[in-house]
Amino acid sequence: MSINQKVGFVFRQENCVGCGACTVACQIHNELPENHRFRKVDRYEVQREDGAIDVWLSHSCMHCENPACLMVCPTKAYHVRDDGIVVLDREKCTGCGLCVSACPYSAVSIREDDGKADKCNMCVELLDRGMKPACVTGCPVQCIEVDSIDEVLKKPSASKEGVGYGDCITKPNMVIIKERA
Amino acid sequence: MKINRRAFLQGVGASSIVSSLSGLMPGIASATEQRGGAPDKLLKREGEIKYHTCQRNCADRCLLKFTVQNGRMTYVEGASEMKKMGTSPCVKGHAYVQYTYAADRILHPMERAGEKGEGKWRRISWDEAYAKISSRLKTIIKDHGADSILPYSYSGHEGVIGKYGGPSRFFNAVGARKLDRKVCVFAAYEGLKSVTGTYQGPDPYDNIYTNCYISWGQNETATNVHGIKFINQARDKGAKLLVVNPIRTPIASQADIWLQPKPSTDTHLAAGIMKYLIENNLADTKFIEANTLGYQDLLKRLDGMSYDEIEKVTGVPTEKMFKFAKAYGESELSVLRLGYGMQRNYNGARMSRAIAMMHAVAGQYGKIGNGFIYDNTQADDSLNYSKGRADHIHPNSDTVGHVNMTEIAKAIHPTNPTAYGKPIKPIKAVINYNGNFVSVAPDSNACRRGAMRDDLFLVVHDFLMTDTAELADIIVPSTTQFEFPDMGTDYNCYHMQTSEKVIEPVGESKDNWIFFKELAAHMGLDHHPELRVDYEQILRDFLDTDEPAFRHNNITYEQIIKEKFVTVYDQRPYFGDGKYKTDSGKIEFYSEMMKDAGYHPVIDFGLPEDEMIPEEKNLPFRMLSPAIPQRANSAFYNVKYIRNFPAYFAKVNTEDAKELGIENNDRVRLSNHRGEAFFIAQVSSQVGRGTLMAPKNNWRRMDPQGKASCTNNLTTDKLTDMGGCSAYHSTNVALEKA
Repeated sequence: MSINQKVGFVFRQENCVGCGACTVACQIHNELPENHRFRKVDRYEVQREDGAIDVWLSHSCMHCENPACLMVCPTKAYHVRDDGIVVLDREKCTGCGLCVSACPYSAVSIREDDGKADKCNMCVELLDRGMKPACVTGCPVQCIEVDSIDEVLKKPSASKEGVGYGDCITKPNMVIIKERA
Repeated sequence: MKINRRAFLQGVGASSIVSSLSGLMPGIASATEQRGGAPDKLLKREGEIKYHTCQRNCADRCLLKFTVQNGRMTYVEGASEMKKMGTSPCVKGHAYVQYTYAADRILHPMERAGEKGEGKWRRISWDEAYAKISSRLKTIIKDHGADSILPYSYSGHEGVIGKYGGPSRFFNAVGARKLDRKVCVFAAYEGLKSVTGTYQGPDPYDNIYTNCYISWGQNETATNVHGIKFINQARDKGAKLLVVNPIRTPIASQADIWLQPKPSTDTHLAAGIMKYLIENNLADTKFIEANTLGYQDLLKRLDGMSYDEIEKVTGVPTEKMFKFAKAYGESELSVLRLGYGMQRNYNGARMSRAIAMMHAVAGQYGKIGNGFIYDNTQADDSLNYSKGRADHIHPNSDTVGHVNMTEIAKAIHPTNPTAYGKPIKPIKAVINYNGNFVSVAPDSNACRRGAMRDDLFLVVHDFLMTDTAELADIIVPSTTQFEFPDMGTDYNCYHMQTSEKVIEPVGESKDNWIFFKELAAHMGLDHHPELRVDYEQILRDFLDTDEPAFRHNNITYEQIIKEKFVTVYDQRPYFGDGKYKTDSGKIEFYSEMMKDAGYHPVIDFGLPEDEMIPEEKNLPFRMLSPAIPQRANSAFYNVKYIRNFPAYFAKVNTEDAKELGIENNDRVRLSNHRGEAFFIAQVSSQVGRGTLMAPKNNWRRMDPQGKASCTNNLTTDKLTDMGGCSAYHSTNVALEKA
């Protein structure tokens, strides 16, 4: 994976057990307020032929190719890096909340402590040092990865559709892998 | 205001978002720079690294790496050189820095300054604390005898020194009452020993080679989350996943086939599967002939049981059970993992036995990639506990009374103390450490009544104001596990692991050894050389063992210190030699051991309801109270980030909820003759009809509704059929909207 390749989250939804370790690993790395989360885990009860099952979606910022947050931000606080990661310069943020409203994935929120927007930056400070994001190393089931989106999408089991997640006009860079499901 | 909500949801197969971990109370934050580098976030990862084993009571027993800067713990990560761990702690382990530096830590000794439980405290010095505790204990010993003093502890610290090596030396020197610490696994120990002679099994690392993983009564997400990646490796190569659980656990949802029996009907279900295997030529007759005794007795016993009867008792449709049995029977290699919860039933030993027998009918012992995993205590059982605890200094160990920790409410009853069904001499002092019996023991209201006795001297050594500590006469601050050196064994992957001292004790806290060693000196008991040693000597005493499993690799103290973790040798493949650990050396379908215990020697179909008093038996709901992933018994309730995850809920079946007019997030009241508890309803088909699930061991004082509710207000303290184990899940309750 070179720095110029577009990177994104790769999620094996069929393996996620909803424990919340990714959420907490992220909060701790990013020193977030106790009730502020960049990464959330939702449970879906899905009806199948022989009864309902539970499916979890671990999700954060999708690092879209056409980020809605960037498009609506009046202070140009957002930019997209060469590797596709969408980062937010909080010094430029005025807390107007347009990005919060615009994001189709509810990935941006206003922090209670300073009234400014905040979101996942894919732990770029770790990626830039050859390390992996806190959620990736913090998942005991190993169902989150970051990888070159173009490469991953070549796999027949890769998709931009999953339970609770779907592609949209912002072109999110998250891929669901369904190797068994 | 979503710009493209419709597009977002396209392709979504879900019927509804049932719950989210988002959207809780707002909090306070420190600002974080978000653009590009933000190197300040990395500073906490730079410093000295200490290897320390998580000592919570979980089979994973993770080896973790802690960063220390200027004496302060700053970051935790998994010891990735150990394949068990990968790179990650569990959801709780991530927060160990927050756990250690929690704002509500007790940092100095305190004496009660009001009525018991009133919450008024006076700060005292350690010298005053020692003087007051030793003086009162000496008076109690003089007036009532040393066996009026009861230690209470369990799994708040599972390290070798923290659990037994330190405290037990003190209690042995005192000659205190013996606490039988049998709350957990012992019913299944008996059931499994009646079949193969042991409760131990193959190394779970070999799960990657199996063709079929069976999770029976286990929620891996809560109690063995690091094992899931190995199951997934097997599944990626084509292995099937079969699950039996009355609750739809995460891997039950991911299973190829999930059976949802009514709680505690597992004997019937295992019998049904055996019957199918035998009738459909899927029993491994060659294996059975070579390795078992009593097969004809088993066939006779199964003849008397009809599929209709099995379906009626278990609630599992016969066709679905057949499908499960076929998939299982046709798998070349099947490994079965039995959970630690299912045996906590009045029929716990008998159910465990039936499941282990089923695995023998399928011929699934003795190869890499098959076998039966329950409690892999190979490393732990090899330690020299007698020497490590200094059992030889107990002055009256043969005659002193015993109290089963599950029955502590009965033992400290204000007027009629009993143990094992017989009246006992009153207990005048309880020293509580590594535990929190008011939250953890069953029948919590009765525990509380006993602890409130004016004539009961309650000393609590803890680092938090727990439900038990708030009733104490004296609280002495303990360290966390990170503030002294120790070692630990896991009960999954045969490891012996180091626990280096990570930081100095916080505040005035003292660790389990220093506290009991200094108290012994104040009691005049330090004439025993065993009470004057250092940490290393205690560890060396535990390691002074000739057990072959431990000695095979010449494991030494120095090796563990240097290598951080060692794997204790055990058989591979497990039972590969065909020698079973029963008296007969065979797998026993007919068991004299069961007969001697008063049960049917082949399969005993007794159910918990048979043993309930009518007023409980007639209640409509069985309440299961298993572990949840974000708590470890009563630990982590106060920990930043972890306390966001709900722990005061009751899962209610959708149809049951409809009948009772209960909707998701309604407040509900659960009750029986022991008391009541108020929870938030989570309406779901995760539990079957007539079953409720509420998390175990939640604290009264942390109840977010302010109702002082806890699950153990309702749970039974009656013991299991064999092994003297707790039977929390044999609890019936009524349910109503509150």
